[in-house]
Parts: sequence; C-alpha cells; structure tokens
Amino acid sequence: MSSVIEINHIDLKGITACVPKEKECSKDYTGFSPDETNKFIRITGIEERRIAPKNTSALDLGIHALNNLILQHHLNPAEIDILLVVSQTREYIMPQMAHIIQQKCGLRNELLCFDIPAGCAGFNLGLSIVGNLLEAGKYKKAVLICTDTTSKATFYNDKAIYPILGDAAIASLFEYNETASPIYYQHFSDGSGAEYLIIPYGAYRSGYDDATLPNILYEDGIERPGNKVFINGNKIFEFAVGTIPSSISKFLESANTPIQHIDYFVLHQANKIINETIRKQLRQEAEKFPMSISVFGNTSSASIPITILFALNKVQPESFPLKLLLCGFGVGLSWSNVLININETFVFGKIEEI
Amino acid sequence: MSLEKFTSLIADEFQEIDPSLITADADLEEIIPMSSLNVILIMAIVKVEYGIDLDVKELKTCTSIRDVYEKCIINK
Repeated sequence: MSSVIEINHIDLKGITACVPKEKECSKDYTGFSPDETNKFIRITGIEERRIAPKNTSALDLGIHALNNLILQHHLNPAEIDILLVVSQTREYIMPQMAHIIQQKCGLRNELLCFDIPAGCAGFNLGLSIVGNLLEAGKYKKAVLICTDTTSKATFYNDKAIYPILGDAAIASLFEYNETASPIYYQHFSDGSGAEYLIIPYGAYRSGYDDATLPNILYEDGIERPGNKVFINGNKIFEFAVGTIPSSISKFLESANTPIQHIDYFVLHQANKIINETIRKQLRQEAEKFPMSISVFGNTSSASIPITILFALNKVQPESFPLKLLLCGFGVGLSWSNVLININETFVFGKIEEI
Repeated sequence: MSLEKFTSLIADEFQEIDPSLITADADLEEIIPMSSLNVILIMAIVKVEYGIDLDVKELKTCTSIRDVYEKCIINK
C-alpha cells in the first residue's frame, strides 16, 4: 500500500477564525535585549501575536469560530454529522471539548463528536480523519475546529517560547460531494523527538498536584515550571529543515503532481527562517509561501487554515481552483502533507476578534 | 564556494556585528555567541548553501568560521 492516501468526494467549503483582540508586540517583550529583539523579529518574522486573557479559553474561541461558520454558510446546525475538535489546550481533563461545543452551538445529539490532542500538524490530521469518514457517503457534513490558547502554557520569562506562541481558533466545513477533486495526504511520526517540544508535568505520569509541581532547569539554562512548554528550538529547526523539504518532494512525486503545479505551499507557521529555509531547498518563489506569522505568531493547529484566510483571501477569482500543499510539522515529533484543491465557491470567512 | 564568500555570507546575516570583526579565523564564540538564534542562523546558511544538516553539537565544536566551512566541505 502506498503511504500517500487518496480520498475522494470531499469539498472544503470554507473556513472562519476567531482570535483574542488583545495583542502583544515582540518589540515590547522585556525578556530580550534591544539587539535580541531585532534579531528575533528578523529570524522568526513575528511582530505581534494575539494573547487570550485569563477568562478566555480555547473553547470560547472555538465556539465563536463555529458560530460564524454556521452563519457564513447558512447552516442548520442540525445538519452537521461530525464535529472534530483539535486542541492541546483543552477546557477540562474531562469531558472532551467537542461535547460542550456541540451543545453550545446547537448541534444535534446524534452525531460523531470527538477531540484530538494534536498540535502543529493537527489541521492535516483532522482533515484526513473527517475526509475518510465522509468519503463513504454515510455522513454528509463535517466541522473541523482547531483551537488553542498555548500562550497559557508558557511563562513570561521564557524567551525561547513565550514570544512565539499566539492564540487562535478556526472552524472549517467539509462536505460530501460526488464531483470533488481528490485530496491526497501523508502523515509521519517520530516519537524519538518527543522531548524537544513538551509539557512534562500536569498529566498522569508525573502527577498534577500543584504541591508536587517542580521547576525544571533545562539545558538552555532556563528554569521553567514543569507544567509549561519546553522547546529545544535548535533541535526543532534541525528536524524541520532536515526532514520537511524531502518529505514534500517525495509526497508530490507519489501524488503524481509536479511541484510547479502547486499554486501555494501553506506551511505551519513555526518561524520565518524555518519556512524560508524549506522554501529555498524546494527552489520556490517567496510569493508561493504565504505567511501569517507576523501578526498571529505560531498558532499551533490553527496556523495553516488561518494563513489561508489571512494571506490568500485576495487571490483573484480567475486563479481558482487553487492547488494547495499544506504541510504541518512539530510536536510529537509529527509531520504531515496534504494536497487539496479549493475552488471558487470556497468561502474565506472573517477572522473575528473577541 | 570559497571561504571568503562563505565568510561574507555569515557577515551579511549578522549585520549587527562590526563586519571587520567577522573573519575566517576569528574566535567564533567571541564574535558570534552561540545563542539559540545565532545557531539557527548559521544552520540555515549551511542548509541553503550546501544542502547539509549540520547538527547543533557539531556546530558548537567549531571555533572559527573556517572550521564551519571545512565541515561543510567534508560533509557535502
């Protein structure tokens, strides 16, 4: 069996997004020296991010994004057969967020409703799951939400990750359609790099009691609370630029798609230098690599769809259908490629601020 | 690519550093402290120009730009 999977009869109808209105600018981050600030902005491309206040959760952002999706597509919520929520910053340890969103947004009780705790490759993962479920024709409409408030999993003095992560949610609508173009996907996992991007405490291996929560002194010299994100930025960079370019090339070859047929490469927005290095390895023009990281930072699983909304919404109608290569990579380690066409009926929803 | 060209590429990426200090044999740690961001910048140059993955440990053993250059030549 080929590791590149083809799914048929699925249309991506539209995407909406929701971000907190509160902004934080890289130039205001006091953890950097002035030289570091300039270098950080030049390397990561991050000028500002959206940061959810204490009383706004990933669930709240996801509900707003879905409500907008329902309005935008004149959907009857009762028509939705599948609700999949991708998040690493869930509302509760239990129950899953999808059930709460199902009730809050007026979806019917009889539906397939579940969460996946995936990160940077989460949109691709979710897309392939709802695509496979829809393909058989028994379900007609699916909603995929990717929502995270990962800023809450960092602490201010951690200059390796605090100024990088931003908060955002997207909701996307997939429908069964006999005449839709095929979608191709391929997923990868390498758990040997799990420790390079990790929150080691706060779950059931190490205990979740505040009284037993240690601070951990990491090899980069930063001491972090055990329930906050640690990133080994150099290892993640090594992984991304060492793995992704050839992964994309081989994927396109297996999908019988010459690289010059791709209109846009929508990559996870980890940082600018990673995406630029990948682009140069693939020998592609900068115009084909849309970015949203300058204004949203790294928004985890929402980063690919929010980049589509932010950077491709002005594409001229005559350019459609657009052939997109979506590539997510990061925590796990995991990485994933999707080849998808979006046609002229695709609705670029608004990016709502709350 | 010559050592001179490689050195000038490094100098282009580290514009905040006095270019007269960036020479092939200068003490690397003295001119470019191996912070996470600086390591990433050098790794990106090496990847784009030579297509090779110089890992962090290997890079941190280099004492000069000449050392980095020679590793690129050997690994290419």
